[in-house]
Amino acid sequence: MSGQTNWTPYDVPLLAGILNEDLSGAWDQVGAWFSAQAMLDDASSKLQDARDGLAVVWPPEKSPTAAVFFRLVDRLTESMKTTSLASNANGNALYHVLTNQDATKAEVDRLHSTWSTYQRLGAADQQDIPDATEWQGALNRQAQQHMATADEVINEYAATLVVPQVVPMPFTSDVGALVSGSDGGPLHPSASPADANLPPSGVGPPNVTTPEQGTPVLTGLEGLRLPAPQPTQVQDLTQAQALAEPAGHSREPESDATNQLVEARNLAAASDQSATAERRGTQPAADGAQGRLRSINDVLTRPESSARSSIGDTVVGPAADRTEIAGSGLGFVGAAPGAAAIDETRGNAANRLRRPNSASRVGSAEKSLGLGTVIGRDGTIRPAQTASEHANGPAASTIPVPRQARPGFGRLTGGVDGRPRTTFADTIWDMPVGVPAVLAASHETSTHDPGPGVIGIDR
Amino acid sequence: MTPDGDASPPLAIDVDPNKVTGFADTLKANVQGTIAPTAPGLTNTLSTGVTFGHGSPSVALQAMLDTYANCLITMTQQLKNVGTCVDILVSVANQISANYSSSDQLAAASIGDINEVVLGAVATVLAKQVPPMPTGGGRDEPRYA
Repeated sequence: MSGQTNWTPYDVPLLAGILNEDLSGAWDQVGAWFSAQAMLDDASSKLQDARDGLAVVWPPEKSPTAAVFFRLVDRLTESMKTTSLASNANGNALYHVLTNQDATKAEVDRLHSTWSTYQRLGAADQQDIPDATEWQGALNRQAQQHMATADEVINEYAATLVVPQVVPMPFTSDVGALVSGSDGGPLHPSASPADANLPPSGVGPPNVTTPEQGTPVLTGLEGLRLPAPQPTQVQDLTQAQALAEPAGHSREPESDATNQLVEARNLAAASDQSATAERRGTQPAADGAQGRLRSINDVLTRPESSARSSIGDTVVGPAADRTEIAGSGLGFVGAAPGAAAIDETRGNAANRLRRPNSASRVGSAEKSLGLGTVIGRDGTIRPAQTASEHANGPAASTIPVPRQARPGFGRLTGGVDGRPRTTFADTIWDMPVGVPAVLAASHETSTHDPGPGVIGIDR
Repeated sequence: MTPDGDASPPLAIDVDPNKVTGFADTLKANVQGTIAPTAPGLTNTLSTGVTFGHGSPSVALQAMLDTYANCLITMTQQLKNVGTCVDILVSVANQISANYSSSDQLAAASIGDINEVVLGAVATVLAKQVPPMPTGGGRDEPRYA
């Protein structure tokens, strides 16, 4: 029983407004509750029949294996039946509350209609109309009485509501009993969130002791014990998170790497639930987690990751010199794709490179200038250096660019999320300068005779 | 039951693996076939939450709706879990019938064996429920090259 509502301040029009709401969604839920009851009754009945039929030929009392299997079936059957009862109770409660609301609304609407009639007659200055205070007070008292009665009905049926019990999913307590010798608690943090609020599961198998009570009785499944998250993976992720941070840029605790760590733990945990899958190591969830671990470890193994630079960033590490060379221009005309100073770990850098003027300058220069030309940031044009020259240090002709304004090393070093990417096209080939070309264009002959019957070849 | 569950000698039980197969088929046709087409619609309706009484000053109604909202939440979860558990059960039954082709094999199956099957089914069913990875369509989403 809840507290009483003081309806005195509410007059008929106000109460009519409060009750004037669409109940169709709630009525739909009444139907859903009863449909759920029917569905669960039907399903549990068929499950029970199938279970009984199988138990005849595979009696659980004679086979521990069958006992385990039927325990799963029985728990699900029992949960269905319990939920069916709860569905019936809730559908019934909601049905009566809504019916009561409809009835109350009808009564208050009737009073409201009378109220409106009195108002119209009063406005017409009819002589036989009682005083407004009198008829309003009388109508208000009736409406408030209807509301109080409705509250009593609501209290009555509210007490019959049943919060359904969520079946442990997916049988964590059953499996946990087999694996660890206990019958309670989820196997793993990745278990269903609903498990956290579940009451203890049913009676455990005989001879099973909890870990606190001693050595688990069921010790034959040692190989199925679920390992804790690998500390090495955690260290790698933590380290990767630290190293993946660009210099001078701290990240929030809810960073991507942290999320990936948690997600990887969860995914790995989910995969750990299956001992078979663990042995094979081919579970999708595990693959996903390991894949992310690999991708983060790639950051660790990439030398550019610790020395990645971008426009406006201070270059740290051995790549600073390389940046000084390649970073002096907007890009290499005719060099490998990605030779332009692109570092997508900085959105502003990527955006700058997408500016139309940048693209048009490079594109137009490529048409009018020879290959290997570098367009400087200030618009000057100069020959490009080869990778060998890059390695040997900056050339004398390099246009000095303030460190704070240097683009990154001429590689496509990362995606928008900072994850490094390397493609074959990124490679800057070590090419000698001033030597004859290896691949020379064939000399076109002035005449060509394709022979009779060949049409369309004019050379 | 012996402590390790594996030391028991094979029990001479007249078990026909085909019965397990039949059990799996029955589950799939009757139980899963009942729940799978019905539960999503019910979940949609119930997961909308409380749809009335928000503006009512009634203390009784608000208290009732608080409880009712909890009923809706747990029922939605329960419907989902029941569906998943049935999927797991069907998978377990199918795997058992596939692993043990003879009655002797099934009779000799250990708890460890059945446990492996259960764990494998759990992992398989749950793996199907893992939401898809981001596709990299957004600027802030990771790329999966």
